[in-house]
Amino acid sequence: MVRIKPATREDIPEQHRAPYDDIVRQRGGPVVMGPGSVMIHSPEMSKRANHLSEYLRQESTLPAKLQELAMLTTGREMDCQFIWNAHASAGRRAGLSDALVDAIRDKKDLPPLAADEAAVINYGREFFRTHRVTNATFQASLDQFGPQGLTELNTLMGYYAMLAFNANTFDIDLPQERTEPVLPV
Amino acid sequence: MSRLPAATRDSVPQQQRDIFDEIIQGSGSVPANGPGSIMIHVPEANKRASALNQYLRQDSSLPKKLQELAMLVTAREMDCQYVWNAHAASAKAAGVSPEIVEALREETELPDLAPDEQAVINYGREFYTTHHVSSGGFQAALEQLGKQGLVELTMLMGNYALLAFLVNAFDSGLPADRTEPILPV
Repeated sequence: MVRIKPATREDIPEQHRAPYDDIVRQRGGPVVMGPGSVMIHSPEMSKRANHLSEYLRQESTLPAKLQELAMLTTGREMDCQFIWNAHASAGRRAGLSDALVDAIRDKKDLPPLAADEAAVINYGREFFRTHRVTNATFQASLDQFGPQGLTELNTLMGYYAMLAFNANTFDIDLPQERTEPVLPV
Repeated sequence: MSRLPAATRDSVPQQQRDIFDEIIQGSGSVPANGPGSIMIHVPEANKRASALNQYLRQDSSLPKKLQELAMLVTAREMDCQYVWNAHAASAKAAGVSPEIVEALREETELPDLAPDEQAVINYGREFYTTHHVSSGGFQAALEQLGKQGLVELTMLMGNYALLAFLVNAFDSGLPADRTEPILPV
């Protein structure tokens, strides 16, 4: 159960109502689900975070499949049900194998991976587990993605870890129409 | 030693060169180290991330002292030398006692804390250690900071974890004119 209710327009301080209205207009209604429903308590902040997210999701050089893999790796490492649920089926649709998605979720041995998939998973796991990335893993990711792509990958994972922090601490609810198995935590 | 050569106008994506120029005009040169030296490889993402960071640093409802404390807690939890070094002195200047800074750095027992300091430290440590925050830790932080303040604290910590991810993974160096003791890692 979410720990605080989503903000209504009346909850928002007067000076923040313009960015609040912008977000509601852009989303087509009040933001009541997901990390956005937490961030909306600070509308100008939320607007700026969304702007960064839009770059990372829509303009980055990283292919959608690898973006989804980066989000799933981050969701798993941060034990974030919400991100896992929001991206498990999107990851499958973007071309990740069912065997790979299931193995990440259940922390099982991974199936054979393409070089770019292995680079994404190793990069994220090493950082989240040790707060470092080894030379070999850094180099493998750099060879796969180049300086621009690697910076985008790293920022995407960091951004999703930030969303996980919001989602987990505020204990936001999963959508009712969930189809994916929950993340074992 | 950074793992990547410094970005130049010629090395960044062609369609982002105007933004590269804009950023360099503001900062004077390509940063030699820190998150800015990495994100400049992707000027558009850099610009959007800076806008979010500026909100969190300059416009948020969180008092300066608690912002600095949040950054130090995050740097310690992420083992990030760079963020630690960038904020240990400014935290003391903002009113965090030298005893707290030292105890955080050395991971020794903390001195007596004000309730707002305690709330910030517990919130960050709980999340980074367990990926969740207990009801007690959440409620204490909510009572100290209010909804908007707590959302901003969460995003500030998440944003600094993102920056820590970048500087640790890319192994960005420390500035030459360092005065603070390094973080034992």
